[in-house]
Amino acid sequence: MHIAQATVWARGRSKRVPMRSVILLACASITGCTASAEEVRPPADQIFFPTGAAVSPDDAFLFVASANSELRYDSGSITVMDLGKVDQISNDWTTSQTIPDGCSQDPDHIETLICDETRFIMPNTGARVGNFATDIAVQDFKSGGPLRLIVPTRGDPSVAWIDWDGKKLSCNPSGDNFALCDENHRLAYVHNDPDVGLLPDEPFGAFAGKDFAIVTHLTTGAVTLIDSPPGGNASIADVLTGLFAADPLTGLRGSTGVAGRGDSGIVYVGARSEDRIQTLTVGRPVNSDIAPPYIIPEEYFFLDAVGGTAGGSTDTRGMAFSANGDRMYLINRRPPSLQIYDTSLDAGGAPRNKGIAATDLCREASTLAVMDAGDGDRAYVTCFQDGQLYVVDPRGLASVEDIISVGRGPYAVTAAPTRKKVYVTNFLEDTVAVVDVSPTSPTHDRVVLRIGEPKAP
Amino acid sequence: MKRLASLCLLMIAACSDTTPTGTNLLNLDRPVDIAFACFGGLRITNGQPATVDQAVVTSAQPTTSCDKRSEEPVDTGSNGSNGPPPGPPTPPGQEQLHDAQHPTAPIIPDTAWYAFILQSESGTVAIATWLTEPSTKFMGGEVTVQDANPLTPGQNSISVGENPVAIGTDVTGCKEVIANAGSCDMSILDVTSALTAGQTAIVDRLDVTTPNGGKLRSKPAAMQMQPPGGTIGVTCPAGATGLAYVAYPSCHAVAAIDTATGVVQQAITFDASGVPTIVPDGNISCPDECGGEPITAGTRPVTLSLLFDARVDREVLAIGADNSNVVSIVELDPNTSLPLSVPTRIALEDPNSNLGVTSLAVSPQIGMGGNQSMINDDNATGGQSQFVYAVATDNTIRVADILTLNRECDTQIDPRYLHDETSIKKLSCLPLGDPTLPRRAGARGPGIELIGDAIPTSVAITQVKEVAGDLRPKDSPTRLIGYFAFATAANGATYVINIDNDDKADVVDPEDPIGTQIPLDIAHQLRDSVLTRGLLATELDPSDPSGKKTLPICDTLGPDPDATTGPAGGARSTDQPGLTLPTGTLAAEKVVVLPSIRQVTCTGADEPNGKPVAETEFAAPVGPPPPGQVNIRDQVFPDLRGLRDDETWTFTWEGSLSQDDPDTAIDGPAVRESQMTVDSFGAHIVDQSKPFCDAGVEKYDIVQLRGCDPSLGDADCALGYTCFVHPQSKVTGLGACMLKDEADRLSNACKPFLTTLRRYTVGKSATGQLDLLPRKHVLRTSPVDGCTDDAQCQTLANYAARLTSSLNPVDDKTAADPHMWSCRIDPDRAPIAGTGKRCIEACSTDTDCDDGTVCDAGTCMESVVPPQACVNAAQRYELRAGEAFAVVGTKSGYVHPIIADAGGSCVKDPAAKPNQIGRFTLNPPACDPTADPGTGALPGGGFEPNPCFETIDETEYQPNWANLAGGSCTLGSPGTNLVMRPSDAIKFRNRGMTLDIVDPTYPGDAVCIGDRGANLGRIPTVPPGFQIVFRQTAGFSPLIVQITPAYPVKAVIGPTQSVWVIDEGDYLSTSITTPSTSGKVFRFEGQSVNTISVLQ
Repeated sequence: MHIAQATVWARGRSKRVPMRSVILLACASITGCTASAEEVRPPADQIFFPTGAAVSPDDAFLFVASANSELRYDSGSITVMDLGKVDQISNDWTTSQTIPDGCSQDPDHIETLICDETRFIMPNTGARVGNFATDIAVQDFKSGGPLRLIVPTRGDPSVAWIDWDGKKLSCNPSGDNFALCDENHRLAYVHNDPDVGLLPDEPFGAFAGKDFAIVTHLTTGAVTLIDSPPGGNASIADVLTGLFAADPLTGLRGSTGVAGRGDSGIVYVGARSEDRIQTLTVGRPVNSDIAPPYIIPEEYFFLDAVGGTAGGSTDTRGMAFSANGDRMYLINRRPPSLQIYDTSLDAGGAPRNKGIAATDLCREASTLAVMDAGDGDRAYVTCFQDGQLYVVDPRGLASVEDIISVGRGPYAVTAAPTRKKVYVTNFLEDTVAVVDVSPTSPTHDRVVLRIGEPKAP
Repeated sequence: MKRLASLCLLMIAACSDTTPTGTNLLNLDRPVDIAFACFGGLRITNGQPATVDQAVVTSAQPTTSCDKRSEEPVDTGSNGSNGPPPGPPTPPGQEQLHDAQHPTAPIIPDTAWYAFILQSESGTVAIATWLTEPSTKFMGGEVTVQDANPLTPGQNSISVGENPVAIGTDVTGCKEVIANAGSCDMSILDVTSALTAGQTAIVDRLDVTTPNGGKLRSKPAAMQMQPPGGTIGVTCPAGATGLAYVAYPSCHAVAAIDTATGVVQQAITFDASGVPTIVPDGNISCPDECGGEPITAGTRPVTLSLLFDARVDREVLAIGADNSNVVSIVELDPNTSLPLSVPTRIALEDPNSNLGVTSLAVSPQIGMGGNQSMINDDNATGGQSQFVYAVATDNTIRVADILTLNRECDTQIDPRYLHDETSIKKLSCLPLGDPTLPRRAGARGPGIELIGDAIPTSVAITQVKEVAGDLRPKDSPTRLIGYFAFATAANGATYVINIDNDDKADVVDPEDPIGTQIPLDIAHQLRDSVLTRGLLATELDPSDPSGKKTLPICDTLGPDPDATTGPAGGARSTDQPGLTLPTGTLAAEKVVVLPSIRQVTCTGADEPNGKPVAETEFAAPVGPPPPGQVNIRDQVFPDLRGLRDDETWTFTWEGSLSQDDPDTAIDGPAVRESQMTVDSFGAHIVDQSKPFCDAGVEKYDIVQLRGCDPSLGDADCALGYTCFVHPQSKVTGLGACMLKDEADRLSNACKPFLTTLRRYTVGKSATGQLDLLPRKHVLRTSPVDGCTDDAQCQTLANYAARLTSSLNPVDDKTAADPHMWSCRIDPDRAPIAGTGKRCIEACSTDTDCDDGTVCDAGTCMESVVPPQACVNAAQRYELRAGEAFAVVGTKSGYVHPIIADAGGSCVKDPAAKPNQIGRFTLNPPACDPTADPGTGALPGGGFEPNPCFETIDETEYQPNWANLAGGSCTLGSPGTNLVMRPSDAIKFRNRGMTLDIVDPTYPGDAVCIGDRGANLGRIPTVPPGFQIVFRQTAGFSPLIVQITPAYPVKAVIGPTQSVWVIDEGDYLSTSITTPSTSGKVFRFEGQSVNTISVLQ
């Protein structure tokens, strides 16, 4: 008896030959040998080529990933900034023009104060990770316990997992300050076994759920599942490939943006190479303490509401949900647009996933954050090429409300709703721009503080 | 007055510097709005008669001047008279007086149109120009972008303000008024300075103030200008003239601002409940948004449409808010344009209380109806109407009559209920909520829906006059005469909507029912793009000397559906519907035993004796029906708009509820993946994304586990799992993902699971969980009325076994079925009629059962409840209709009425339309002969069942067995006979089709194939996977203007009723021949929508 194979998906799991794993393991070991050289140890109180940024759920801390893109140091880093102190100085500046020692008024933007990052980086809290970190996802276990940072790094490639107990980032049992994450905290192999599989190249975006994280891969289209149970170690549990079609021009596949819809367990992944949004869930075997979790591909939908007659709506980048999960905001580069999807649940409890609005954007938009600072949601979009932060009002058909110059090479943006501020990492000038987004503030949508002296071009 | 420096000069049309801007030069930077001005030579007459000594200047002037010059030339000399040659009309006083008799009279330079294109991000205005010509002269490409600063490389624009959102021309045509959201003020651009060579453009900033002296510092969202006026021949005043209506969403107000002073003259404010009030003194209070003052909640007006209709001397302003479903209509004084009253508030249907309006367009007062290819506003048979079109946040375009009815119009009434409606007045604005006029199934609301997921962004309404000598056929999609709306959408498409098509019938014409279907005829429908809708299967009658008379023919499939000229004709199947049989299930010679689409008799010039054609085919009879017959195709395809342009329909027995492939996302993946759990209640499919009600899963449907494909290695499984195939499994290609370390260990424990077909029955369907029941193996030929005893089952099993034989029964020696079949009730399948029993395979051991089934308690099972450890991997599966045909279109998908109830269980939506259905069984309830044949409505209310069982005439060729009574199968002469016989049939209605599927069951043959003499009863012969397939072509295909914007944000009506589409979006080209752009502007004429100018 024969059952026809109806599916035409070319989906599969990524596995590589052990020999390659061995070679790369050796390379990683060699790289690791240079890590102990004190002269190339990165400074713990500075940021350098900042990429990823994330705010702790209580809006108390800002985690910043320094990518070390010049390879000046032996590693990248994750530093922790005290947002209370950021608020204090920025508020003193905006309300009374107070300029603390070591700070100065930006000569080109007089509403902006520039302060060295040292005063904001909490001493003895950071950690070192691989080079070319791309993102930070904060895993909130919601049990009063520690947070966990998931940090993809392209250099190794690997994914670092770092616990935050409120005082210190920990990814090395040595307990040393600013320690390099050890091998247990640098995930490079599926099930921590080189024979099972290797983390695909170019880890890019990350999203953390309550007991897992999803990492996308820019040049392969693969999606990696990190099993990260509360109180337990993180490990690579599954790698799914073939979710996205290859770009017909370049042949490349790429998974890019990733975001989760609240606590529903549904994760949305965008693509660099086609106009598809794939949703995923994570399956956990029942009554088995040995079977690892796995990625379950769910429904997908196409970004055909925008740009249909001009060549489709491809190259998705940042994705973010509104606080209640009813709206998904998504950046596309072709055509450059911010698209808004109705992800509210229908009567059956499934997200509707219908395009409802869009607006034109800058050309090289990278990431976005969504926050309600008191006047409804706004999407904040970084424009790497133009050095701008677009503020999009999603009401009606959506419209660009403000365009803020934030610095050179803005990449990541993250928001602190209770502080009514967003924070933008400026990759090309080693700064973090602090933007006041309070709708009732005289400095609404202005960069009020630049953390770090802008590096010369 | 603040004069901005370093901006300047422009050529005028009279100058020689008219180098067109090539399309590869990029000038625009995200345009968002456009306004039009008239500039050129002007004799200063100050309203007096023209004289040769009056001064002539080059100046901005009222747009009415260019309007006049753009009219069609009037030939004042007729037929050999000595009158002047035809030439462009000239406004009074502006005639060219320079001639031989008046050599000193100044020559009036040419005058041209100018477009001021507002660019929001850069805060600039780009300028384009074209000649004053009638729209019929427009050939595309005439409009060129100008350079505001020749001294700076590139094509430059004029800086005007911060984040400007709207631009408009003042009454006199001398100033452009710009509303700035970035600085909460206005800019006034002097047109003459902007367009005069050598001058610097003058831009003044204008604060908006209230009469009591307060500054209005709210952010504007939209602006509409007082209609053009002014006297041609008067010098431009120093300041702007007339009113600008500006919408301030955060102030919950619309202000009428004197553009000369910036003072608010009057305003319309909205209170907390959204009720508008006219503030006659203009003193309103708004938060200083640009100063950071907090704003309050309330109605947010964001869109305006102002229209002065000179024909009836009515001027209205429509106001829409992005957080209100109410469109307010303000009556304006036609002389002053100031508000008179707000008599009308149109509450758009808003069941979820979340509707908003983002774009508006008010039509002129229209005389509805007429098909004489000319605008007939003053004597229209349908009476007078005036409409407002509102782009709503439910992604539809709502329509309301604002003349007499003052209510919303329903544009989604199911055409089945309008087929015989002849009141043009009624059809012009159909009521909402009339139970006799229900909406078509699946309609999102009363508004006009664009195709697919298109998000409308803007709408504009224009009048298109007839073109003298127009040679286009009357039913040409691009031949527009009457009133039309143009709607832009985020997907880049610009759709055309018929408001009053004066070129076409306004009701269904019984003589041409296919060519005059309701969606083609009535107001507020997307315009169709398919040619010759009324085309019939005919040929010219050679005996008719006039060469006009036609005769019906049958041997035609209609126009080539893949013709390069596009589809033509009415909806139909492209061929006779096909039957697809799974391999090894039925001999090809016996397809006669299977259900099929009904055939009717076509009699034509080429088939004088008649031939059977499927009721879906082009040759199925249409047109005025002979007595006793019906318009078959008109009945089969009763709602053109309910049909997608071209799609393939499959009716699959126990077919998948989704046919999505990697390129489609209609019903969800055809093969899904979820977790499977097993507990004391049985097995369950559990999915966090809760897809099952949306997928349309019903109780007794089938879950077919697909396991993994062992030919792909372990690629179907998660890392750490392997695709395991039990060595004793006889099911080809069906492995199971199991932990690598555990597969061998679990081999025995999981054997029953691993060796079955893994086909389960859905015991209960809920949003996130399907309860699975092991499925008993039922005989395919089990009677639809239930079996009576085991012996009958054994007989039918033998019959089933013989279905694969190509021999006639009299010659068929196929061995009897070796299995045991028992006539029993299966509580795990849907109840059936009659005895309620099915023929179920019985057994003592597994060897008694068919391959892929196992023996469990005396019954052969297609699946078992497995131990949890066997199914810990993700399970791939299909959802299939249980004992029913699944009706799926490649574009429409699987349409169903299933929703979740309050408890999350999947149930039939009690509010679902009767034709919102996508499946039928072989034995549905009987049709009601009293029901309306078109709609299925019953005289006393309600509907006949859908689907329903009927007896209907079927036309077919039958073998002419010469000696059937003698027990031999010899064909006589002719070998076949054309027969019309009464047949069991299933009438099935969905959104776009009403079909009859004949022969759902078969009585069996006694002697020869097709003799129907076995008297076995109503026996199903359909094997799982059997399909009836046809390609339906020439469904609704909207007319889309051939422009390619990346993100069109606005449609604007320009001079000569031209249509301008503002494309704000970037286009990132991947071609070396096509540049990337930062927005474009497209212009086309209603009279020729595919003649286009592109500015970029």
